[in-house]
Amino acid sequence: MTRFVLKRIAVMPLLLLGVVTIAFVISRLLPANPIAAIVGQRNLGNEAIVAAAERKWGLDQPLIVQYFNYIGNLFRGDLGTSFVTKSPVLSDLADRLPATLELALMALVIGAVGGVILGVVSASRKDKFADHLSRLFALVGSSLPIFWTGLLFLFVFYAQLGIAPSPGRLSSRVVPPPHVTGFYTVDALVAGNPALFWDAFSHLLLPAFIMGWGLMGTISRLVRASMLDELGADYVRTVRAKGVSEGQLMRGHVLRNSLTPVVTVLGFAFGALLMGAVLVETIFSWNGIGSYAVEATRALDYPAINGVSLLGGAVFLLANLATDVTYAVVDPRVRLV
Amino acid sequence: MTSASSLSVLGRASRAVGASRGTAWASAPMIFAYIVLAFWILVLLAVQWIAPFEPLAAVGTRLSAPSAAHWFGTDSLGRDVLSRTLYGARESLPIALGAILGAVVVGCGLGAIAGFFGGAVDAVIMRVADITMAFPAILLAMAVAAGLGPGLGNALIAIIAVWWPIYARLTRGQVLSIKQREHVEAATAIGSGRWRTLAKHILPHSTTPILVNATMDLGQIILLVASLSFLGLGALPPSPEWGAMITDGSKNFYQPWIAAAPGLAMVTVTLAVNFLGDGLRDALDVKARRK
Repeated sequence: MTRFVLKRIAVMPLLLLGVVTIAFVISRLLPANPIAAIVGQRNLGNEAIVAAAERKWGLDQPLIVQYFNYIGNLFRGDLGTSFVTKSPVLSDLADRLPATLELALMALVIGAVGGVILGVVSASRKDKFADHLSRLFALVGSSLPIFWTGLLFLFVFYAQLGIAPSPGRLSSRVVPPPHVTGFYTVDALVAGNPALFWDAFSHLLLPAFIMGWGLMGTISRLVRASMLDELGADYVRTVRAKGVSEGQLMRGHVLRNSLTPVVTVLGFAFGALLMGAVLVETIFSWNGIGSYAVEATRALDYPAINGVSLLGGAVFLLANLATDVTYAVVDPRVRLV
Repeated sequence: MTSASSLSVLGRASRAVGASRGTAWASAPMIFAYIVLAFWILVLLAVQWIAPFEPLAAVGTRLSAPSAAHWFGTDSLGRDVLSRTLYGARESLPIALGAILGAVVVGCGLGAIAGFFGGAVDAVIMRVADITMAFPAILLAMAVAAGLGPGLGNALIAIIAVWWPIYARLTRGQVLSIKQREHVEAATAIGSGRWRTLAKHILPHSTTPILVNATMDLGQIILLVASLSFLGLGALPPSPEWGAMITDGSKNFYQPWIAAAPGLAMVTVTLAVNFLGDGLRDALDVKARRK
């Protein structure tokens, strides 16, 4: 087990190097020229300015030199400097990561809890109306374009009904809590300000629900399928023969055994949620990694794009590793080699 | 993609509870899928006779709400939203189909080569596939699309670049198992060349899971195409592509009908395709799925 984890961790830098290399190659081989993003469209005709900018940002060096400079800097913890914000990419990412993590974690909780409930309802009322309804609800979640759902929900719940707060992490003119974790909800509690906590929390609900809905579908299908599988097992007959009630059977025996497969999707799900953040953050004016990525791509801000790719790759690999390890812990039959 | 690892479990369960193959073709979701897809195919073929107005022409008052003349209202330039949505099918759907086809061809080709020849070729192809899959898909697509410049054609290339590894893995697994079968050995024994064996005796046996997976992925691809357009990296104005129309709608937040029609169109298609994928999986009894 320990050996397996160490082996996986040892390979990670290599995979991340691959991710960075692909990001670098893509960013330099494509026809678009980032120099316009740096000097502004107006100065593109001015050769002196363009040459000076190219020198300053190292774009006049041969590609291979640029690549090794970039990799060398990475090992020193330097992800380069954003063309747009003109500040180090690492500090940009650190500033924005908590907003996205807070949103993605909330979405994960909504998706997992909702998914398990739907799955249980489906499995215990198999082929009845409740089953069909919950499966339809789940499938609709994974068929919706989340940027459209976001707009629609904002229009209905914020503009029409007035029960949801405005887009953004806090209401306007509300001052963020002092920075401790970067999670506004947690920081508000640390600062002992329940009103602020409620404001931050209510702003999370709508975007997190939209992100979590698709996940709810995945998890409920999984729970339903694995519960139905379990219900056919021999031990269920034994438990029934002992005269245990159906509810007790579901709660105490079947559900517990059915939740193992759910663990396997949570890791992937977290990675997918971070990607969903790209679209949801754009709609909800959420100042996180997703909207940073969109701004960076629009401006061809390559250091920033590479930085986000590296972060995304790292999250994906860590989530996969965590999944495998958790799986082995909850299911002793799984042997990690 | 999130549903990937759940599917083998699902397949197992649906057989366990006795979903018979005959009814799988005619279940309620499948019938819904047939009707919706037939409607959109009809639109694709005959939109010029079905749509009430030209997609790019200003035919009404700007931003007017839905009415008898304009069922889904008009947009900020006075164009008919319903007509644009119907014409939008010609932008969104062929690109999505092209992207999945491209990903299948590239992915299956590389995966078959990796699985059949093994060794260094296999190692190189599969490591590149691993790394590509470690990449956040939408981010890679965004980077490629941004670098190539906006446009639906470039969005198509970007999506193929992101999606091929899934099929490479799937096909490699298939080829590795089929390679061991006796009919392949027999073919080799009577002098069939390696490429011929691969093309004639191995690949034809792995088409079913690939077909089912491609159908199940199509919904995701449709959403990805629209997402890229929504972010300004796909179709450009004045194209009536659905994602781009929703961007238009987001700029006119208080005229929700502008985004309503393209959104509904997309939901019906993705839902139908997802139903179709599920149905095909049950009907063809495919258990294999990546990861």
